Order: sequence, then C-alpha cells, then structure tokens
Amino acid sequence: MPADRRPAEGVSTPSTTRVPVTWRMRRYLGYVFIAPWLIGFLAFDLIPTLSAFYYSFTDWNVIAGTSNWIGWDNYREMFTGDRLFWPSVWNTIYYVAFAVPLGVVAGFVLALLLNTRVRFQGLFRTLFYLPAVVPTVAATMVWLWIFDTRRGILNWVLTTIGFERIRWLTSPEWSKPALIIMSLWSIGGGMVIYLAGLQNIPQDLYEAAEVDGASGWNKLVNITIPLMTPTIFFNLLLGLIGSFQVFNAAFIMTGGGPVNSTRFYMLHLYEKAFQQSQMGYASAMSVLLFLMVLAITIFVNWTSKRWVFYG
Amino acid sequence: MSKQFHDRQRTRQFQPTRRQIVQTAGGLAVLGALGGHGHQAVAQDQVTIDFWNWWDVARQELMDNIIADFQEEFPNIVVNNVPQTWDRRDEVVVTALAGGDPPEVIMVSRQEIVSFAASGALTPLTPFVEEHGLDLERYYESEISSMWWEDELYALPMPTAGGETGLYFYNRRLFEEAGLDPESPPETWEELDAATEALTILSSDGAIEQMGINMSISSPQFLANLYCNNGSLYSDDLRTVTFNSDEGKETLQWMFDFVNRHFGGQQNVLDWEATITQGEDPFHQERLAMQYQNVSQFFHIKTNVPDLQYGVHFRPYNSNNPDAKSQGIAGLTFGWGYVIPNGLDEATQEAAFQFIKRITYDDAACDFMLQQERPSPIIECNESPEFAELNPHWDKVQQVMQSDVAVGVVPVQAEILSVLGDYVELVGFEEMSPEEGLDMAAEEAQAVLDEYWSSAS
Amino acid sequence: MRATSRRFHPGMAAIYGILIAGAVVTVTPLVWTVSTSLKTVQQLSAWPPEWIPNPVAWSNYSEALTMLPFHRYFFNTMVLVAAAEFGALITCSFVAYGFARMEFVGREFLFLVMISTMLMPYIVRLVPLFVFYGEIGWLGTFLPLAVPDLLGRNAFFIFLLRQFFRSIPTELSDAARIDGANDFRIWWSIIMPLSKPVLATVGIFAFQGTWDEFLGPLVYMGGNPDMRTLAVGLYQFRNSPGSENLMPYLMAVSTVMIIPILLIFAFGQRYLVRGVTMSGLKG
Repeated sequence: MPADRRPAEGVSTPSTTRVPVTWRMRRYLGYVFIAPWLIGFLAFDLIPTLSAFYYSFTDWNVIAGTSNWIGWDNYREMFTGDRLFWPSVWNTIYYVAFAVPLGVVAGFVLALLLNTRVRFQGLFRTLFYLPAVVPTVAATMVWLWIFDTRRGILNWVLTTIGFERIRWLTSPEWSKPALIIMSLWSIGGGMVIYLAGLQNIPQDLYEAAEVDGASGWNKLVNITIPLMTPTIFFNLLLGLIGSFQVFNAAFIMTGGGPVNSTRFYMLHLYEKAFQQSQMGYASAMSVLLFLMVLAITIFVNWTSKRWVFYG
Repeated sequence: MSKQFHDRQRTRQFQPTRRQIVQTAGGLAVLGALGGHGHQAVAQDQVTIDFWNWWDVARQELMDNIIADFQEEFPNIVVNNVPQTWDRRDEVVVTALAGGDPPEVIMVSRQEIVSFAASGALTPLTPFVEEHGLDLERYYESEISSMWWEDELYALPMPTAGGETGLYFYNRRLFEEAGLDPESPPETWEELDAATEALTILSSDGAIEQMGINMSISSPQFLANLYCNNGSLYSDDLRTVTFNSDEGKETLQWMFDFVNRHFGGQQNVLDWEATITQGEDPFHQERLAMQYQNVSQFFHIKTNVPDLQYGVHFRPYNSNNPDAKSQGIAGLTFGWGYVIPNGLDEATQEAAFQFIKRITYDDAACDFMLQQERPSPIIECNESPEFAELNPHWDKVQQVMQSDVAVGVVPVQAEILSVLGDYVELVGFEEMSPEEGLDMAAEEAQAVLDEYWSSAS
Repeated sequence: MRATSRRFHPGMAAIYGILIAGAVVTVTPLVWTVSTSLKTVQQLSAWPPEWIPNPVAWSNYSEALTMLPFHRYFFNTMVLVAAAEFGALITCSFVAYGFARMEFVGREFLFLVMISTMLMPYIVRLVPLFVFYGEIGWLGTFLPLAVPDLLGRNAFFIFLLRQFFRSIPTELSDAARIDGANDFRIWWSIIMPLSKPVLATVGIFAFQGTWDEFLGPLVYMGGNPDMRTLAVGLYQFRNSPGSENLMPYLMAVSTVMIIPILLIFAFGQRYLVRGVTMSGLKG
C-alpha cells in the first residue's frame, strides 16, 4: 500500500478544483478505472474460458450437445494417441523460434530508419505499413503467386541471380520458411509501435550525449535501446502470443501441407473442433496451449524486471 | 514547477460527474441504436425461413428468382437467402447448430448430413416425404441413397453428387497434334498410359509444359481410380475399410508409376497444381490435354471458352482386372443436400420442407440445373431434350449418372479421409511404398471406424 | 564549422538504399493486387506475368461493388469502427491508466489475468459465447462485437497504453496531485495529451482491426445478410474450388478496402512525431 499521499502541510488547495475523493479512497479508485474492462471480462471472458477447462475433460460433441466426463482421456490421446499432435507442436515452435526474433528485430530496425530525417518519411512509413492493411484473403492470394514454383516472382528473382528454383509451398522443407518470410512482410504493424515508442525519448538526452561527443552507435546503444525496452518487451510478448496461434496463412494457403509440414497447432485444433466434431479434445489442446504460452509469458515478464527500463 | 501546467489546470474545468452523465446517456442511446437491428418483426401466421446455402455470388440471382416465385405461391412464408462464405463454413455451420438457434434450412455436404444426423441434430424428412407423397425413385439411386441414415431420410439432393468422377474431358485439337485419334479416346489404364506419353511435353528443366492428364497422387484421385479397379472404400456394411485390398495397392502403385514416368514425380505435379489456383483452368488454355473433372466443367467451358474443341469419355479402368469397369463414384468430395435442424416448431418445419421440396423436387429444381447446364439429380429432368440441345455429350452424362455408385459415408468420414489423405501424400513424396502406406492407413482408419461403431451401439 | 542544413554522408545513402529496396519489396504484392483487379479471368495466368493488363478491365470494380450491397456493408462496418475507436481511445486508455498509474490490491494479478485473455484460442470460447449471446438475444445485432469493444475488452491496446503510461515520469502527476487534481483529471488532462503517439497508434490499429475483421461479424452477425460487414462481403468472392474464379473481383474489392485505412494511417502517422517534450519539466 502506498504511503499516504497527503498534500504537504501549508499548501492550500485551490478552491476551483474539485477533489471528489479522499486520499483513503484512492486505493479503491484503481478499481473504478479498470471497471469497464473487468465487467467485460466477467461477462464475456471468464465463463467461456473456464468452460474450456471443464470441457477438456469431456467428450463434448457440440452438434449433439452431449458431453460426458472422460477424465484425462483427451490429454492421454493428445500425448500418446494422436499421430499429428507432436508434429503440430514442433511446427509451431519452429515458426515461433524464427518469426518472433526476426520480426522484433526487423520492426525495430525499420522504425529506427524511419525515424531519421529522411525525405518522404511519411510516404515510406505508409508504404511499409501497407501490408498490414491489405485484407488477409487478398494477401494470401498474392503470396500464393509470389511463392509459385514455376511462375512466381520470388523464383524469377532467384533464377535471374543464378540460384535454383525453390519449391516454396510444395515441399516440406521450404513451406515453413515461406510462411515465415510472409510474416516478415507485415512488420509494418510492429514498426508503428516502435515509432510511437521512439517519440517518447526526450530529445535533450540525445543532445546531451552529442555534447559529450557520443557517436551514432553510442547513442543507439546507450539511449535508444534502453529507453525502448518497454516497447520491445511489448512487441516481444505480443509476438510470442500471436505466433503461437498462427493459423490463417496455413489454413488458406497450404491446408497444413505438404505432408503436414505446415500443420500448426491452431490448424490441428480447428480441424478437431469443427471438422471432426471433437470439441472436447480441442478444448484440451486449447488448455495446453494456454498453459504453455502463459508459462512463457510469466517467464518473459519475470525477466523483464532485469532488462526493461521504465523512464 | 512549471507555470504552464498550473495555468492549464485552471482553464479546463473538468467536471467528471456532468460529463459522465452526458457520456452515459449518449452511450445508452448508441447501444439502443446498435441493438435495434435484427430480424424484422414477423406477422402472426408468417413463417420465416433462413436459407443458408453456398450458391455463390454468381448464381445468387438464379436462386433469388426461385425464391421470389416460391414466396408468391406461399405468401405466408418468407425465405431469406443467406449465401455463406466458403472459408470457415464448417465453423459457422457447427456454431449455428450448436448455438440453439440454427437457420431453418441449411445446405450441407454429404459428410455433414451423416455426421449431423448421427449426432441427432437434424429433423428426419421421412414423415414429410410420405405426407406429401414424394416419389423418391425420381432420383438416381446414387443421389438419394446417401441422404439416409439409419433408415431415416434427412435431406434431399441438389445439385448432383454424381457426375463427379465418371467422366474425363479431352482436347480434340491436342489429340490430333499428337497423332492420336480424337474419335477413340483412351478407355483403359494402358490406353491412358500411351495417350499421356504422347500428350505430355516437359520443358528442358523438367517442368511440365503441357500436361497429358491431371493425375495427382491424392486420396480423392486414388479413390476414384480404385473404383475403376473394382475396389471400394468400405465394405458394404460400412464396418471395415477395404481400400488396402490388393486392388487398392495395385491402383496406388499404378498411379505412382504413372506420375513418375510421365511427369517426373509428384512434386512436379504439385508445382503445376499450385499455379492453377491463381488463374484460369489450364484445360481452357489448352495446356492440359485430358482432364478429370466433374460435370460443372460443361458450364465453365461454355462461359469461358465456348469455341474449345473437346470431347468427353468415361474414366479409364484397369483392363488387367476382369471385374473392373469404368465406375464413377458419387458423393466423395461433391454432393449437397438440404436439411432441417432439430428444435423447430411444426409450422416452421412444414414451411421449411415445402421450400426444400421446391428446390430439389419441383420443376424449379430442374430449371435451376438447366440454366447452369448441369445435370439434375432427378432422372426425368435429365431426359428432357433441352439438355441434349445444350450439350452434345449429354448421352454420356446420363450414362454416368445412371451408373454412378454412392461412396459409403460414416459419421467419422472426415477423420478417415484425413488419415487416408496423409498416407497417400506420403506415398507420393516417396516416404513409403504404396503397399506400406495403404496398410498403415487402413490400420489407423480401421481403429477410428471401430471406435465409432463400438460407441454407437 | 557551421552545420549545413542538409548533411550528406554515406550513412544516409545506405539508409535510403535499404528503405527504397524494402519499400519496393513491400509494395510489390500490393501492386500485384491492383494489377490483378484489372484483369479478366483469362489473363490471370499469363506468362510472363503482366503487370499492366491489356485491356484494362475497369468494369471489374463496378461489377464487383454492385454484386453485393456494399453500401450496406460499409455502414455496418463503420458502426463497428466507431465503437472500436471509442473503446480504444477512451475506455482502453482509461483502464490502462488504472493499471499503469494507480495502486490497488491485486493490480499485477489482474493485469496478468488480462494478458491471459489473449492466450486462450477463440475456438473453444466460440460456442459458449455464441450460446450466451443467443440466449440474451444479441445475435444478428451489433452488440456482440460493439459492447466488448466499448468496454475496452482489448488486452493488446490496454497493454500497449499501459507501457506508455508507465514511462511518463511520475513527477508530472505528482505535481498535479499536489495541486489537488484527482486521477480522472490527471488522466484526461495530462496523460492523454502526452500520449498522442500511442493514441494515434491505437487509433490506427482499432480502425484497421475492425475494418478487416471477418470471423466475428460472420459468426455473430452473418446470419442476417443485411448485417454483414465489408470483410465478410469480401470473403464471398472466395469461391468453392471448381466454381467460377472470382479473383479479379476479390482483388478489386480488396483494393477499394485498402484506401480508407491508408488515408487514416497517412493522417495518423503525423502524430508519430515528437510531440510535447518533457524536457521543460525537468529541474
């Protein structure tokens, strides 16, 4: 609990301002602020989320509307009985391991570049943000063309430089890298967040450093990066959370193939839930994903105390 | 302490309570407006039917016309045409059914008919059929047989499930160019081999320039060819998977050899197929000489390349097998029916059935198919001379519709086909031999099937 | 030596080089989208790829936009956008202030709970939510999507705003508090104006997220065709395999849908510049 924040003795309170709460009540005022979210959470989130936990122990068939308690059967099936479960886990971890670090770094670098005084700064920013703005369905169609083995522009560039064609979406080796590359296309979203963060760094810090003769690199390492750690932390965490649930591109473009190389966790979950009417099993998978990402989130949050610096 | 800040504080008279009142009032007004939309209020004896279907943007007008006529005849029934999106359709349908307030008529696939019926989510149509005196023999056997589950009828068909695999299209000009006789297209596997040899052109780097036939090592193609080798997916009682029979292994081995011999491997074929999603049908562009395709292709050819010189013939069968013949299957990846979910009141059910009857049984059903130049599930429809005028190959189409056999469907169909699909794909990628792949697939699929039947009893 | 107004050194050239290369790569898919939107189906798989179709099928746009009631879809989308913007700019920042600058029991715990709402896949929450909305009669209306937005049910925005609010020096709010301002005042008059960059960001994201959202409107509102949004309408051009290829129309509608967001972004990104600095308050 905070120490009493009483006004210092002798300071008068201007009569025109209103002080509707006592300092005592202030500890409860926080709840007022988060009340809208809390209400929404209790109404729309809590029960569906808890019900997922419950249904993971049942054989819930949503169509039939039946659910019988089956204990740990779903989890057992997941870990030992489902031929496609572990591949889906592995595929997802592969994707996360590459997409998240690359995305965080690339977004940050891009924002740095677009924060310097270049001509057409606004135009560049808009261009790089464009991919985030193209509707997913159109974007996936375009990328299907880009990745096309015979007629896609990517292979055209490669063969012009002198490399061999790559079977981007039709071979198990390259399907995930292809999707990772595609995810890098839309770092404009992250870039915007970094840009916002960069604006928060007081200019006079840079000026002071320059007076001391700091080089560009010095300024970057000693001022920019430390003060950007809250933003980096945010993007890292959100990147992790989002990437673990990668779904859309694989669903539309590859259908999980070839040979289940892009069968991500969420894709497998979707199939089980809606195409094979095994919502209980899907709930178990959801619970596992939830716990896994929660653990990672807590871990990252815990480490953040060491490297995130709030000005 | 900054003076700026102090002054700013004084100039803005922030009065939380008053503003909050205004905001709340405004918010409530907005909420009221937001909640105001919804279904229109319905008159006393009026029944509203929400019709979820996948007749896409291009054919919506045809359907709207049928609905308009229907509503004229039945003024107390309002039909809302609600075309669905193709993506995520299973999600939306499942959620609607599970949510307790489903649409009154849904267009669903054969697999879904059976799995929803087995879960008890659908209203049986058998009593309605009897009451209205419908003669189900108006339909082809293969069309109507897949609409039953456990002796109850759950749906009526439209469009056809048949005409899916029984035919193939071929390009007469390319035949002549390759020195083949367009009047005698291949009928057996051996003849197909020879023809493909002549019709396939590979480029110098091994890519496919002109494809003889769109053969690909996938489970739908495997099953289609399996039936032309006297094989089947399940046993008649649907208790055993039979795709790993000797005929099955022979079929898959033949396909594997075929693809490797002519196209340089399944990977090449996949590269070829990937381009197709982008643009126009390669058959239309004469880069594909022969094409396994369903009967909707007639309509697309007419629309896109009406001058194309093409022919049609029956799917090649295995002449080495004395029991094999050209056999089309119905309802594997094709085939739709119209169902009524459970939980509706009698008046609504009756109205829904009337509408289903209109689009699947009445003359309007015939017209809908005629306008798309596709065969109808109703026998006498297809016998009308108008079809023959529109389509010079109509006699073959009719033959296929008559002889098509319906693939068995069980409630766990999705899972079984997924298993088969995975292993067939692995065979295509040379991860295992056809024999191995089919046996492993059968083992897993059988387990799924057994589990279903044991829990169903 | 006097600093010239335009300093040119190799570093800048490299920066420009990277930016231009990156921009070209980034824009290519968009150019292809527009190019495809002006083609007829027959031209789609021409090789080598044509960037400028010949002839140009401008009619794709008028045909596509009249095939479906897009004016209706636009209205529906804008209603949801309005709710989302209010929720993001007002409610979420309100809540974020609570998490960032207020002290109360269980703050960190509740914050973690809030983050964890992003972790549970929507699929398993879909049916219970759907049933719930059905029971309270919200299906087929804007409410299932608008109300949560208005209540600030967006952990992403709250988290982002909280990060920014936390990095605003406490001296500012302390000073205000000594002068007797309450927290509402501090939030509205101090924190918000200083947060223009992040508010612009959140505003842009809220617009774009709602503009492109497909699944929510489809599931909760899609049963009533009058209540569809632009994104749902767009998806109707994705046909079942084997039916007519509507790709040019798909691309045409997509191109049209990009324009508003682009304008919003071009306008909003101006706030992503150094605004009120905090330097004047030190010392």
